[in-house]
Amino acid sequence: MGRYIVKRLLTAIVAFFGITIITYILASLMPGTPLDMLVQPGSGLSAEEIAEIEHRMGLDQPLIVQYFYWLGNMLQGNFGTSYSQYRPVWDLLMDRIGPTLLLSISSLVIALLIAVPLGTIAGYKAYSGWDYGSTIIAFIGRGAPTFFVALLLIYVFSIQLGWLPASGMYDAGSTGSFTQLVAHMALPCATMVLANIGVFTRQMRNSAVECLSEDYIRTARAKGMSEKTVLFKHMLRNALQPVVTSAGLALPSLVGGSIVIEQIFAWPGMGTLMLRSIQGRDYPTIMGITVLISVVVLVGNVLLDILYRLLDPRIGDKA
Amino acid sequence: MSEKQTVLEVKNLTVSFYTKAGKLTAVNGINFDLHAGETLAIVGESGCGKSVTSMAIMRLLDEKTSEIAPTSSVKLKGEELTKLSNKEMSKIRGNAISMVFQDSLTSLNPTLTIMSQMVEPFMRHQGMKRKEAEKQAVEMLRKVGIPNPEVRAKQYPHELSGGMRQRVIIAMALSCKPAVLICDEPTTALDVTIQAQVLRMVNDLKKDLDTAVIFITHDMGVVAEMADRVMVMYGGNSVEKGSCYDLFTNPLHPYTKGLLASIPKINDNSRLFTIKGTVPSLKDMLCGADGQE
Repeated sequence: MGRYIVKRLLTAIVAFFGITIITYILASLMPGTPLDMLVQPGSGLSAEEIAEIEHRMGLDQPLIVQYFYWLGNMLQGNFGTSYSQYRPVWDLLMDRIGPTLLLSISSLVIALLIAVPLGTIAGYKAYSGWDYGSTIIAFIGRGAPTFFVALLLIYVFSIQLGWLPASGMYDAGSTGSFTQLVAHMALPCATMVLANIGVFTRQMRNSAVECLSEDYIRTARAKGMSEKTVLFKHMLRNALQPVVTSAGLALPSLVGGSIVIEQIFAWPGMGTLMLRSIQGRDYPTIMGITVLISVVVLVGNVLLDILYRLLDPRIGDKA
Repeated sequence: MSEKQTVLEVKNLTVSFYTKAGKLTAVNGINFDLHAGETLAIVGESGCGKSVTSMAIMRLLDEKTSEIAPTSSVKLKGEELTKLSNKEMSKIRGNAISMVFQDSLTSLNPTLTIMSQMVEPFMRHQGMKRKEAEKQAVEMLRKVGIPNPEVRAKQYPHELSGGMRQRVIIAMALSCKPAVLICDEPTTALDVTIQAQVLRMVNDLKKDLDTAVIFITHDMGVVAEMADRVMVMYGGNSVEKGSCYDLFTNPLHPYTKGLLASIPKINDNSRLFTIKGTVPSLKDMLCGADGQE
């Protein structure tokens, strides 16, 4: 187990450097430069002054030099200063990561808490009313575009009923209480949950159906185990694996936030920051977000591998 | 043998499946008795209803897709099994009657240690605490000839060989000293030397616990080795019943004769004998057909 974890970590470090190189190149390939955003046409700056700014920002250096300059700083914890907001990137990230994680983790947990039992029942009672009912919910959740669901929820609960606020994290000008936070979170969270339960429920259902036809389930029944034991001890552990995989695949969006949902609900998270920094060709911020997401994803994948190992002892003995 | 107590009485056992082609009868009015300490072999080719018979006795068939006819009766020590609720039946399964399946690789849960699967019958049927059940489980593993049972118990099924896994399954099935043990082709997936070991072990344990055994197989060699009595099945019907000796020396039914003639002989260079035709599909079977010309 120890060797397994070390090996996974080493692979993750190699992958991390690969990711930073590729993103750096891709970011610089985007049309337009930060100078276009900073120096508006008609600003009255002379060509020399513009060249001076370019030099000070290091933009006149070859790409590879810029990359290593950035990498050296980053490894010392200096992510640079945002071109568009003139604040250290690290501070921007720390401001945004909290709200994003709050929203995405709570909606993932709620989605799993709904989808796993629902899928299990649907699989256990395959081709029953439960099964068809959960299929319909899953298809609606998966099929309806998030922006549509979001707007629909805002229309019903904020505009028509007036129960819930439609945007932001707290009421404007207030210091913000927990109940306010929950009220503001309800709609974006519901949108995300609905989008997620579709996949999770279907996966759990199919996985449960498959597991229940396995020989070891028959053995458990032949031993006289109660249906509860058969389901929770013998089936669930095996059936959870595909769901763990897709929950793991959701990791990047956990940290990166959902651009669409955060934008619609004006949620001050990573998604909106990402969108704004791409629009502003704000390389340091884009790179900062990318680094943060990739670190979380890579660490998450290592954790996921360990979780797999715990769920299924056959995995990774020789890996 | 006849002075021994009758432990299992199967009368007119009829099992049907609901399919798209209609209601099909897979087992058609099977009758047999089983005495304590006796081994009954059920033989026949694939699809003749051997396994369905045993699954029906255990009540392990899916009730949504199958039906045990209301006229059927399965009595275990006088208690009628076919009318029990699933909950009541689960207290009997693995306790008074248990079953060993064919494929040892897939019959154990891959994600649980041998120990956590072995303790289950003790805890469920004998109300033992985990500690006590663990002791019993190790004892049982030792009885089926697993070396180092304390170490093996902590391992997962994939770390054991096929023969060892099958021993574990047999140990699990016998842990509550059942009156009846059903073995559904328990040695088919094993190689011949391991097969012989497992068969000998089942025989020894059977004598030890005075358990009655139903042995399902299509291997006539295994039948000769294990069985006191034999029931030959064809197309869901029992076509011949008799003592093992009678059946081998004087088969009466043409199908039994064919089955025996199909055993390859070592000093005979002629072509292998085959029974003509295939087992008819259930939906082609006429009502009351029993393989007789």
